[in-house]
Amino acid sequence: MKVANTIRKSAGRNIIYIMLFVLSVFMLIPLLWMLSSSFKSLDRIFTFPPTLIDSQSNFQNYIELFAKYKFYLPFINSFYISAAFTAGSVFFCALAGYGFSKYEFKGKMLLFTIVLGSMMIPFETTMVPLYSVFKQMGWIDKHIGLIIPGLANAFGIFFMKQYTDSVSYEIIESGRIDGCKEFRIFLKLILPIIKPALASLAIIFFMNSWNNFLWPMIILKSPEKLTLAVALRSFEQGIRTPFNLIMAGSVISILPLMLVFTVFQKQFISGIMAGAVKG
Amino acid sequence: MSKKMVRTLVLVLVVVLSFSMMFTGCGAKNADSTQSTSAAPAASAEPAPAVSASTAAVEASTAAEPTPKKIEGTVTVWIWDAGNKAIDPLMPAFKAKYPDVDVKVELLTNVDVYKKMLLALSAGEGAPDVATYETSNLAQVVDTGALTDLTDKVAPYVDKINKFKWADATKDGKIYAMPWDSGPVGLYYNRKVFEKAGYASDPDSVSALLSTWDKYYEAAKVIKQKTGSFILSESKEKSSGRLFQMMLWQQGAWYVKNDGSLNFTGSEAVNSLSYLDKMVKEGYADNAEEWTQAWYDGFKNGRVATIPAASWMGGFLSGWIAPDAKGEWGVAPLPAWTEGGIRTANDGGSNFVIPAQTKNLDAAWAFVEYFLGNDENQLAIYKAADIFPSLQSTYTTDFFNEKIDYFGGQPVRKTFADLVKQVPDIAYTKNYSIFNAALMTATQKVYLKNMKPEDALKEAQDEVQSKIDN
Amino acid sequence: MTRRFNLWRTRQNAAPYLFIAPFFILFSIFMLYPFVFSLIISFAKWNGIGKMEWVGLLNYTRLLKDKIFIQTLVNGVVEFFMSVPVMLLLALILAFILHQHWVKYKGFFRTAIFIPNVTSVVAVSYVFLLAFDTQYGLVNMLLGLVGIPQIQWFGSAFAARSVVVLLVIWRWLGYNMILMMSGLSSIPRDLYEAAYIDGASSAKTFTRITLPLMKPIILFCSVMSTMGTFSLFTEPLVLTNGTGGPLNSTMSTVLYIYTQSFGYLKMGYASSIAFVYFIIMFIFTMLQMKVTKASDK
Repeated sequence: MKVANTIRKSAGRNIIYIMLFVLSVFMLIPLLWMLSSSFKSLDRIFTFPPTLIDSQSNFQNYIELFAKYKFYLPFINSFYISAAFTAGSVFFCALAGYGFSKYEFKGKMLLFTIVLGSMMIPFETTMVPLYSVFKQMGWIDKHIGLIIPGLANAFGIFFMKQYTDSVSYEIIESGRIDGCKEFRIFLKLILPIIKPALASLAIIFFMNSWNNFLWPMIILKSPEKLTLAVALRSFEQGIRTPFNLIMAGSVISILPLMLVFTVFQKQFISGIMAGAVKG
Repeated sequence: MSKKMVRTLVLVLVVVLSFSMMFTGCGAKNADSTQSTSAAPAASAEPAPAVSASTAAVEASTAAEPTPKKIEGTVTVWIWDAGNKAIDPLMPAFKAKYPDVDVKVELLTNVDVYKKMLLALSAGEGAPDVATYETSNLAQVVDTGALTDLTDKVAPYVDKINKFKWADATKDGKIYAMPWDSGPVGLYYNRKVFEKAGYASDPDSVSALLSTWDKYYEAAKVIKQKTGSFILSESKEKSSGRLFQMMLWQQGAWYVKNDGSLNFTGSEAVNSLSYLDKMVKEGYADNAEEWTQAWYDGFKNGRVATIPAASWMGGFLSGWIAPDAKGEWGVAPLPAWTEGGIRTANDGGSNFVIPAQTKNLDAAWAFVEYFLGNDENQLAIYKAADIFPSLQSTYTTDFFNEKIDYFGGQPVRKTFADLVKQVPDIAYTKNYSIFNAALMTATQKVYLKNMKPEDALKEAQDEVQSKIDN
Repeated sequence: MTRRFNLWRTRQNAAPYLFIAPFFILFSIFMLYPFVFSLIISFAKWNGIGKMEWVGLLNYTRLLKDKIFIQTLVNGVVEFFMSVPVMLLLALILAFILHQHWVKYKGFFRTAIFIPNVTSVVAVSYVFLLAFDTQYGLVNMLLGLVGIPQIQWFGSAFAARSVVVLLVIWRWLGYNMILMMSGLSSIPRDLYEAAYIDGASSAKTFTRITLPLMKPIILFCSVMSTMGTFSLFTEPLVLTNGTGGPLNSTMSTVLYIYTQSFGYLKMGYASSIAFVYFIIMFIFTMLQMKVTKASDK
């Protein structure tokens, strides 16, 4: 009886492993196809039966991207813009999240509702007047315009508030008793504790900034200022789109993100876990 | 929410609204002031020649031919890859002629050009000095009133360029664009398939064989039966409406009549859509979406026997769609609706526009005129990128009589030059994108849901009517 | 002492406002002002460049009769029902499985399922566009191997929506799964132990303990997904070349706003659509918060 149960259990578990594996394969197939296409020339991408790697696969697309199209420029641009944006954004979201979480003040409910409400404004509507604002500030074709506005991030504030809710109040109390200024409390006492959430948010923000394409496409003009996503998009022709180059470029743009995710996986997940607990 | 909260919310909204009114005022004012400052250089351009005339006189003594007046400044050009390929080889010569003009080319997709242009024109700043605009989108931007009036500048060319090119560039009698290329439509046909079906495959025979759409339909049956090939391509799910539009155009009709009233339900439209529906439903059309691998392969493999397409298709065909098919294709005029009717239309074509914001009108125009107003350069562009010049004076050159190997020795350039003269004078008009979108939905209703063409077109017309009324 | 205390109190009172100030300053300039501006022009006719022409409520009355706009709302609802229940259920099951202590290679599975979320939407949309091509797509080829006839993926509303839905599920399954996992890990162990001691089967544990305690998370995911479904933009844009799928069946509200503003230069009308969209999303969110609060009790 016990043996039969154990066998049934392990058979059930094996089935689950198989299902998980099949699912993982499905999730990875489009990416594998992207990778394999990045090594092919345009006419070979559509052959049937589709091959992952064949005798004609080569690095030609990558060579062309870097040599002919100077793809390292947008790569560097994307990198430092995303880094700057992430650092600033995470900091300000943590700050505001802390404010909403650990303080009671007049108008708190209303202000927080506004924060949430801001998430519902579709970007497409605000584009035209926003461009006007940018023009008045002289931010056209400058990287700063991609960093500053995004520092107001409602999702980040919401997320940090949830997480900070779970931080015990005692720490703040003891900080005050010790005579620390409010900001100092935040900097020295709170930040270290909420590190996992900071890490998760950082990854999310980095990803979003890295993949952001619509607004940078509109704002950036000089070829040397473009970010990866915009540079990639400029390959599109409508007719005879060089999918081979786009796939290669996509692989290049995904690699850093995958690296970041794999390395920071643990913090990322534990951060999300705790951050979303109260929903 | 409590009453108190609602009150606070309203208060906040009022404060913000009044605050932003201030901003709106600022924004509008700024836009006006930038536009008036960009008008100023245009005014001051007049006294300048007096100064540069003396410089020119000095330079003239050293130059072999009279130097143009001193044109200088930076000219930013928005263009897409296909166009850039054409003008890039000519840039050194341009730089030699205008050494003080610094040309900055910005490569964008056509869609992105239109998007960024809207924003730049709206903000009063950020527009290029020269932008490429397809004729299909030209009227829309001309209508905004934010382009430079080029009537005087293009005056010497008005008679030298295909007449129908000026339609979309004109508003209230003034011209706002310089035409680049035209897209006269012909019928590319696969000689081998026709031979296999038992037909003579030289252009004149095919032209006579397919002189009307009715005869085309008969040929479709024979070709299908004898070779298994489709005579044309038309996607059931994602039709671009290109073929339909060509059929309208050749009948001298369009989505709108000259008086501005919609013409979706006119006989030309209904006949065209009915005809295409017949071809699709009876199995003579290959179900491939334009510009996909399946579509290209249809031509490469001989699965599709003819392509009603513009002059620019030839370059694609020989360049990369079916580069190994030397000698296997030919070009005949489009079938007509009635014997002796018009056998061509226009599909595509681009233009250069100069936004009013430009601070370098002279340099910008020098750029435009150099590439588009000059026989030699238009020919060079044609040679480099197979972009068919709208400049008629080029048609008499030997280049057009050259026998093209790919087309079995047929001088196709001349074929198109002859066809372009017959293209009816139709404009895309400023609401073209709305028309085209409605038509696409109509084709889906007809091909996929078996709706009657006249009903689908009526629905499309109603939909468009409500959109353009406001 | 009192002065010091007052200063201390002032600092404490002022602190939260200062902390949240950066957000509100940036928000006012870069979000609020453009949004209010857009609200104002929703009462006008404007091509973005020339003069504005005030038309009062005309745009809104047009909106109510606009078949395509109503279609976008229908599309949102249909796509919601096609994607969200399946995705959330799958996410929950996966979270539950990967939460079990006996599962090995958790890291690999987690990464593999989450990776789609990390990729660029544009690139992936292209991959799906090519994969679901009727004649040349990988999907039809594979189906053909198993004997299933070619499916016209963009020939019917249902098929086209399925492609969009598949893309969305592929992209967001991992994300929702991880959110669920967080919910699972917040359920106290002792509850499970008590159930085990009481002899409850795993199924019963799941329905009686896990599910109810997961409600807030599930609701959170559900509302985020709803908002996501109506704001789909890049996916239908790439998959249908901006046309909104056969007979407008995949046109999303945001894509419609985009075509009206940037395609047809009808900024006023586009703004009215955007405002109605905002109201709808706001109501949804408020509903969710009410339901969550109610279920907390």
